[in-house]
Amino acid sequence: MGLIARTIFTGTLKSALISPMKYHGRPGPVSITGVTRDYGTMRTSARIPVTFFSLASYPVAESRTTKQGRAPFLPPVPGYTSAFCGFLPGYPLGWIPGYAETICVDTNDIIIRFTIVNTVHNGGSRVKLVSLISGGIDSPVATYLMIQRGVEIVALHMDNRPFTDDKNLNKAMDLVRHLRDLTGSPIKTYVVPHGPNHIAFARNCQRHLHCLFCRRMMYRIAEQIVEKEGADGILTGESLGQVASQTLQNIMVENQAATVPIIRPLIGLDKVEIIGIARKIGTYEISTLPGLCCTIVPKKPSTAARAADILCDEQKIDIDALVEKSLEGMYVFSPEAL
Amino acid sequence: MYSVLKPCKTSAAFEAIPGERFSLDLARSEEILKEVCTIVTNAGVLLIVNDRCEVSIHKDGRLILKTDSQELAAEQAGRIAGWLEGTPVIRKHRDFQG
Repeated sequence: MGLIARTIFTGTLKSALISPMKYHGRPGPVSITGVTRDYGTMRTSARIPVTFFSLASYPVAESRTTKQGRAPFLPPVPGYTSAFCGFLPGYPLGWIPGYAETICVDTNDIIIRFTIVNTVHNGGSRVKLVSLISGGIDSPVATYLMIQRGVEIVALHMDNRPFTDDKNLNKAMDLVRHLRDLTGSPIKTYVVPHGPNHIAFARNCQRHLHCLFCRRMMYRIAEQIVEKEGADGILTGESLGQVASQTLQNIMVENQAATVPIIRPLIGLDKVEIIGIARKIGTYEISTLPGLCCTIVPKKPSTAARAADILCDEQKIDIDALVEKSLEGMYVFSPEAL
Repeated sequence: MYSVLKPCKTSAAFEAIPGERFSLDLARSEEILKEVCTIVTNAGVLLIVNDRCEVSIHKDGRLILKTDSQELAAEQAGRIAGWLEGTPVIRKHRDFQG
């Protein structure tokens, strides 16, 4: 599992850029969040690829409206490079010994307090997570937050057709594309057919536990992708108590199907907060496009399942065969199609 | 047979709700419907068929019509009702009451 180191210091932008070497002394993705004297805390939503010898184009992101008004940041679109470079004329950017994920730059005030988050493995490589992207509001937000922390993402969409429609798949792919464009982070995307798994559960298992079987199967399949991709864990957009499958008891039962860490960055956020982030990063509009909700969800899903009941019902199904079959139908969504 | 036709929560489909409560025998419904349209799947708790649009048929008779055209949804609901109404696959709610 990766090491997340956080360093807070005050200094000029120049010293902040040098600091990854100074504070960490090794390459690795670095996230820098700026706090200016005038504008309060600001967090960027973008990723700035800073390599040894070049500062590639990067989108600089959201600014936060404060008492003093909106900070003079550019919108989250590529093209801020020149402004940033102009800010440090002749500065040898190759000094930065790693990967600056995000940075806040106030063009009027270069005295900035930075938070540097270095999200690296002990060995120096990036943390990699398999993110379950559904097409809804939460999962893209969770994915975005972790990209912002320097995590490399592999997306996994569980295709629920025929219990949903084509629009859901399209939405999920649009969300991946949006996140890719917003963060500049390439996102390999797997699509796995999940409909046959639903049929097996609906025919053989207790109806009110359906969503738990569904999620446990998602984790099992995601775990296979984790192994295939050499990733470190699974990332989901779950938020405590938001729906039946996300009560603490149910999450505990679902966790038991996985042997890798499951990261839930939204667990303590409420829906309003999640929607707020989704609006800021531009995923809300995509997530709320028409898309058929899963039609096989039971009318009265369990909110407090017992592990023993789940395990008992799963005995009626050849789970390994279902996972294998799902993986046989898996395909990588072509970036060209995005 | 269907008294309400309304867009579903995300406006991605229409939902047709029966005028009175009843229960459908999905296995027998499948037998009838396979003669007139394509069966996509029978998951035991709901039956999915494809005719002029894809339709999820729930045990309680609710239909989810996967189209954004209200006209098509109404027509499709009427066709399903026409095929199933008057057949033994429908068990009206009052029958349960004895």
